Amino acid sequence: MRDGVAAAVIGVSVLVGLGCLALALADRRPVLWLLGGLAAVELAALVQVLVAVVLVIRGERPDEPAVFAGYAIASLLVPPLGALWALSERSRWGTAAAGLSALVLAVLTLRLRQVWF
Amino acid sequence: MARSTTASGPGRLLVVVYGVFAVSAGARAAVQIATEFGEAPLAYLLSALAAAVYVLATIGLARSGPGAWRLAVAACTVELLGVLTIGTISVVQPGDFPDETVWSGYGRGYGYVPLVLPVLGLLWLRHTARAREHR
Repeated sequence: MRDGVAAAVIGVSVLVGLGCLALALADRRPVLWLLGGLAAVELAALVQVLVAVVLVIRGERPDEPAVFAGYAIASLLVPPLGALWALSERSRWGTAAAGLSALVLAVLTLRLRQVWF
Repeated sequence: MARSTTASGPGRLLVVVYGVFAVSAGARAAVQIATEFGEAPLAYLLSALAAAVYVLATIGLARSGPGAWRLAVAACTVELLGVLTIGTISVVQPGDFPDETVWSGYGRGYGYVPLVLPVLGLLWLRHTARAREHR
């Protein structure tokens, strides 16, 4: 884990999350924006996991390896599952669910950082 | 709203949060029991119980029908009683809990979400039951 990477992932997740919640408050459901936002969040999660894999190959070890691996896998699954769950709801609450999924990744990233050090 | 079930509308958000808790509490309990069960068997068994309750609540809320509704009510009720009981014991007698569970300190380690979640869940379940009666 590198703080810069974690901060970037949290930044993207919070930005997309709050953006979606604002759209939900405005009673909007722009499907392409939701998909694009969650795709950006997924990309950030992917970069973060790849960085962690490279660090492990170079000899660094997370403090709690099993928990870290679990959270890492979960971090890759949250955006696509969140997108499916959000798009199957045809109301503002679908938009809000997409935003909440993005915010979940921010929390997962904080936990990933905690179990690495 | 086309359908009035526990998984539509605001229920979407509840299922997201319950799903996250089901997966993370389940994974955490599995790791604790597999690697260090002897250190705090009671706390880890409670972690596993909490995880099971979150899984059942997620299923009950995500599915529709009276059976799923009753399952969700039962799971949220057990969850509320659990977080209140374990929370109180862990505050009054911290020595009984050598390791943190989801419900220790009323869910302090998880931003008190474990305390708020069952209340929101039960309110939402009552709301959906009323909506169904008025149709």
